[in-house]
Amino acid sequence: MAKYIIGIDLGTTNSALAHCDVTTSEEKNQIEVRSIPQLVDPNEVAERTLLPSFLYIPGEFDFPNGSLALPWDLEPKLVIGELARKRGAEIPNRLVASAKSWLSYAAVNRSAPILPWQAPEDVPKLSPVEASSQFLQYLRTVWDSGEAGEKGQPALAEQDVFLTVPASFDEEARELTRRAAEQAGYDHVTLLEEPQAAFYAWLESQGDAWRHRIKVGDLVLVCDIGGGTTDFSLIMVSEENGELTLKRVAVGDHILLGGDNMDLALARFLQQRLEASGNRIDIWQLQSLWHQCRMAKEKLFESSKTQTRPITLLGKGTKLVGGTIKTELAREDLNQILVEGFFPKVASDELPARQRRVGFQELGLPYAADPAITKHLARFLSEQVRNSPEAAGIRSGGSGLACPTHILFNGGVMKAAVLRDRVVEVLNSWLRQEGFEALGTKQILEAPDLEHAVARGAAYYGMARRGRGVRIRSGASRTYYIGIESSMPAVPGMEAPLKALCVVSFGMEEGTEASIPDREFGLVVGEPAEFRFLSSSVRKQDQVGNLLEDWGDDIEERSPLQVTLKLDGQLGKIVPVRLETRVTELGTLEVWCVSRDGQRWKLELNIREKTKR
Amino acid sequence: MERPASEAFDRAVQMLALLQRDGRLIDFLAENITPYPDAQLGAAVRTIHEACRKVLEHYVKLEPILNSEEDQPVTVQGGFDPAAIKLLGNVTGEPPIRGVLRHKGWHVKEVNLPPLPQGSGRMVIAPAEVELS
Repeated sequence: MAKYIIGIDLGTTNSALAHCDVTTSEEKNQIEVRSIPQLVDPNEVAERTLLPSFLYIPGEFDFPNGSLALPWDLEPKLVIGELARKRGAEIPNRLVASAKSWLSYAAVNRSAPILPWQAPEDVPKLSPVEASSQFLQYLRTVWDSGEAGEKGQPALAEQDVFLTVPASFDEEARELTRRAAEQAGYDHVTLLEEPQAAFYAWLESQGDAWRHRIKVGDLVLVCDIGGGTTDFSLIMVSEENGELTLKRVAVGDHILLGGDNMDLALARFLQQRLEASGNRIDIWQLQSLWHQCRMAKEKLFESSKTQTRPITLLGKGTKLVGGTIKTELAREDLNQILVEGFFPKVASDELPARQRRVGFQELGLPYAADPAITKHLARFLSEQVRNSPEAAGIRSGGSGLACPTHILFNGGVMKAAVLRDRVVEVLNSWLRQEGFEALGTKQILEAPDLEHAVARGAAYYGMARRGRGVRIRSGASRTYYIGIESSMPAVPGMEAPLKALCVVSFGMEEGTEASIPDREFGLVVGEPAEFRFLSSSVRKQDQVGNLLEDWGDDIEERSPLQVTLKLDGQLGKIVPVRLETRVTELGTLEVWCVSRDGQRWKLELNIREKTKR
Repeated sequence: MERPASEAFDRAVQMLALLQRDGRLIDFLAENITPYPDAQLGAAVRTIHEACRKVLEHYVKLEPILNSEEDQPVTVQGGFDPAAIKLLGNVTGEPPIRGVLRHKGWHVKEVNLPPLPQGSGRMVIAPAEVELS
């Protein structure tokens, strides 16, 4: 049995790995995001929690000798991660980027060595499958040879791996992903769709409080905007045998539009402004401009009080100060270019512009022509949902627009509150128009840690599947007992010993019942009696009906119930009864005492613990 | 040049190389800055400052020697190391010494340099860059 559940997000721009040790106590299923050592500069390996999904094929002269040494390989043939991305920005011909998007692009032969796309003859090439396999192999090597290896921990290939794929991946792209995993030596791989993983990441972050926010029948719009891609999907929350299941009822295209486009748009805007005032920007300064725009954008998004951020492009070569160009990014620029440019307020029938097709097309990734993400969303909720096989069951307005009840954000771009708010604003204007209620804060689902959410969610899903899944109904968070006074001769000065009868087992779900048919107890009726209740947070194996005599510190007593159970005016009698217990949907424990002639008495106790919201 | 084969030499070069790689400090120091107006110089300096700070934080953690406010009274206990604490002014009497802190001093807490490059890379502060079109 595998010791670890591993969730892997093989992202278009960044990959991540999260893991959970199943053998440690269930109390805290700690899901950890793993640090991934990688080359960040020649001669320098550093740990990062993300592995940029970039692969660089070194030519003879691209790196100094021996500067690519990794702890497990002194002379690797390929560079993967941050250094690949850095050096690839300088020598683009040797960089494989967006391998994942190529994996879903049916117009090319995805198993043929075509990447880097249109690179010169002398550059050895890989197929999108092989590139993806290389990333998985890298993660596997990191796991096997890192501290995991030293502590004698089992190899990754033996663990249960949950690998995420976009919901928009067709069967072939999924099959190719499986093949890439196989080639990388993974033996136990289950594919999971990213929007579902994102939802599970949100569940993890909520603890038990998720039941206050989501119920069966809800329709969740997952809005995932990352570095290079935008993916929309609709998930319906349902249930199977009391277990939460997520049904993906509609999925949009894998849109090649994302945070990188936004940063580039800002950079181009500033470049034009600088060139208009007589400055010349070369390609390296544009790179620096792009990078600084990204930093400035993040700062402006983070703190609403800041109105501008300075941008300084140092001169090239050794004319650093001499060539310095100064400018700034203002909040209005951000609003105009990003918010209005990529998230304009549009009506629900405004579809993305399609460029008029030129007869001959250069083959290459189909980048989105219209940068307005809100228009792509409109198209998704109208056209694409209409074409979904599940369309009939999807809540829609009069115009046929699908109307979600909740929205879940994922992807690095959605870290910016301003952008999330804009998406919600636009969506709400459509919902109101269709006659539905707007989404409030409770309907906006945000998992913390957006960059690692999919990997965490995949691991959480894996853990849930190991156990009984995520149960729709809350389960008792403790084991509950009632105190039964033992029948023993009186000893002066000593209380008759108390036995504990388990009436609610740990995890017993609200809305379920249990009975103890084979045993009778004496119920004191007709006079005031004290009904003692006990509970335990550590004895999780006790079953309803178990009678305990000795429990040390494991069981704690709660405040007793003082109650007089009536029996037809009779006073002070002991009636033999059998017990049935029920945990109601409101989280109350009902202990029903049933006499031989069918009379019933009820004891009630509130056992629902207040969860943090 | 006949290079002395010493690790100390290589590490000194490496420290400058890191400040150049991430902060462009050497380009800055090597340039003749006299012709430039303060505003332009200032903008460049802010960028270099931020970048070089990160280099220090990352690779060589520094700490003040006397961690209290400058221009405020401070007491120096007996047994101090004159290499770490330099006395100025009316230096007389025995420790403990009461005076005013004028400079906190700096000492190295940690050195976390990456592995040295191989061979002639150890003489390089910054490689020359040649662009092909």
